[in-house]
Amino acid sequence: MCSPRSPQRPDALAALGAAAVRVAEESFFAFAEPCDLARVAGLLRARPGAEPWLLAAVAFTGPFEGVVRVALPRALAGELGGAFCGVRPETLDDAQITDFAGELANMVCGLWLTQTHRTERFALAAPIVTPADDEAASAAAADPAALGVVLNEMPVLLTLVVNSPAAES
Amino acid sequence: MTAEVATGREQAGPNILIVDDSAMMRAMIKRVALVAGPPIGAIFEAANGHDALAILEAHPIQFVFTDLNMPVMTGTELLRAMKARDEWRAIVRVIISTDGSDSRRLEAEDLAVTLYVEKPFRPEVMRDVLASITPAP
Repeated sequence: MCSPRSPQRPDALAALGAAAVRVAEESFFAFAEPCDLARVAGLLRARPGAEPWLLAAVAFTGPFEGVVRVALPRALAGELGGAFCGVRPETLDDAQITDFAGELANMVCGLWLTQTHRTERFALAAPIVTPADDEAASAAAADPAALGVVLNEMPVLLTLVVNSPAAES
Repeated sequence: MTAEVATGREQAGPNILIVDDSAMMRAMIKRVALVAGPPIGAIFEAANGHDALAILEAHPIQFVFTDLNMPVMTGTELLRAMKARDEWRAIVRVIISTDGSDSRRLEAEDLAVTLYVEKPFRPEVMRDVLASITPAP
């Protein structure tokens, strides 16, 4: 049985991917499109070995609650952050790139909730950004609950965890 | 307190206060305001509502751009505090938030908010916002 307010996972993931694409296109003038995890795996294999990644998570509470996670190569976060602020990526320091990754996840989560539940009220927690590596990214790409997005020809992984038991059915 | 005068031209035009816990988002809004907007004076920054109130106490501010979800003191709490002060009645308030829900927008109407901008937004949206709230020269 599903709560009428809780998202169905495939639909919710698709909407989350659409939100990520819109954030990328509007805020960073980037080219983005959802893709299947096989393509993400191929892109991961083509990336440099031992590449640093960032994992940004935003928890939300409201009629249902959960976490949106965005995993992306640190190099991509720097590239997008530079485009966002109009500066060269190499001028950004670690704190700025981390801040940007968190804001990216915040915008994706906020836009997804607004577009799919405009009449509901949610609260978003401050983003938590942690460093990861390409092995963690490969593991995430193997998660069938993840959604891939190709952004400027680089892989991004989105994961949605909804804690409401009704939404898991 | 995270606050700074970005342009050092407080007499050149209206002063702007940008309130957002993301330094990158503040930098983006500041850049667009400086490049695409009409003439402005100083740009101040705060990472939360508490720091924003300290800046409002210390400097003449004409426009406040604020996020809603922030630690320490939210944008909604900041706007409530501003509404309680008669001397800040003329300040133009703009919300810039990922939260565009109907209930937030309704709440904003009660907090004397002039404009509600949803993130993400294209830079030209901010240019248009500044043009719409800045008196013509």
